Amino acid sequence: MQGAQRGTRSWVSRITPWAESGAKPLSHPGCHESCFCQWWQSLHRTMLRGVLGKTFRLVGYTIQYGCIAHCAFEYVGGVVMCSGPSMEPTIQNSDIVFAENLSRHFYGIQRGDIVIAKSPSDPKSNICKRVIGLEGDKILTSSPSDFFKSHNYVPTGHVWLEGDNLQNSTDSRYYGPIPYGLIRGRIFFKIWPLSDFGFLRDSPNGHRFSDD
Amino acid sequence: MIFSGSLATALKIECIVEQTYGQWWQSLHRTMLRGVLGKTFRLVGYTIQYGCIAHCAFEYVGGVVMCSGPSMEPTIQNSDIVFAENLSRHFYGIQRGDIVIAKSPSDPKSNICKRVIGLEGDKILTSSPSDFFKSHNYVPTGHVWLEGDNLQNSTDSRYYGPIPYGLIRGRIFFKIWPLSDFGFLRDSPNGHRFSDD
Repeated sequence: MQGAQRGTRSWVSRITPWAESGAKPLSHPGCHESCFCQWWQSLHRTMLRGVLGKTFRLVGYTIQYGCIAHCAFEYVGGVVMCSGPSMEPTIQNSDIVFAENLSRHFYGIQRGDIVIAKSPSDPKSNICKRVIGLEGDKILTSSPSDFFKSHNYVPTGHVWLEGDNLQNSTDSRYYGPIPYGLIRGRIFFKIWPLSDFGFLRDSPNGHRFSDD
Repeated sequence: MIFSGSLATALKIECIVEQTYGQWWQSLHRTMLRGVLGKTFRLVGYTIQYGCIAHCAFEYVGGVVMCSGPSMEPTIQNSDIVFAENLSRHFYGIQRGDIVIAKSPSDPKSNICKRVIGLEGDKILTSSPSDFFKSHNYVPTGHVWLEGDNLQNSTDSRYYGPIPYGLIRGRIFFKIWPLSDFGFLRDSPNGHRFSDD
């Protein structure tokens, strides 16, 4: 055994020192064919360890950058594609917008903001509506054709959402105010189509905000 | 000749001064500033990297949580330390009887820790046991009905109604501290609440 250099050698060569020196292996139980042993060692040393090592490194880098990308999307913002007619004419079907997630974490969502939230009736999907009222606001809940107007107060920790396309939108008029904890981000900029590039317009239903 | 000699000397001195100054600036730049700045950037880079990985681990796998409040006694006492896993929430595997952590519907900055009594579509008995006429409610789609184990001292769905599934953050399944109560958590002491016929 080359005891003087044991520390610098890998465990493979420590177990089978005769392979490194190129000498013929001594007969020992479990290794009847010297060619097979040498082939196995070369396979192990060059291919398997290289492939396994590369695979682990690839998986490690993927997890690392996946986590960083996920945190960037969740804490800073990202690009979102909206679908559905409930926010027309502000956001059309298949528009691509830019959403930021900082306002949610700093509790800076205000009336008139367009927000993305988890749907209260389906946790797997997201909804995209405008914030009409914050907690404590008085919301007109009766339809304009009613004779007696009815108001509701938004409870603490909730927001009242409505789509800009009031005739074709399932929003808080249907499922009530939603908890603030469901809000995921705020949409503030449209990227596509280029004909509508820029910051998003105010609500076309401006009269909804003045509840006296 | 003398003029050119002194000029040459002046130029030489100037060159030497510039060289010395240049060398000093370069050595400063190379050793101190770049070292300090480089180290700072590397430190910030590593902090962001491992912070993101830790955050994703807590959010997608699980973590240690300290509970406070009396609403889950005797299952979870005040200041107990429990282990919560977040995989069930992402795979929509929360079931009746699970103890969950959720964002509070009345205060988005705080979390609540209650037991799931009913899932969407279940019929919940909402009248108190002393009422003569019993009233039932159905849990709407996408919502869950939460109640604390300590029914006399718990603000839960009997007060603020069913909460959307999207507020659930994780499931508590194991208690770490105190060591006298180490292990998986017990079933609800209010077992009769689950059988709504």
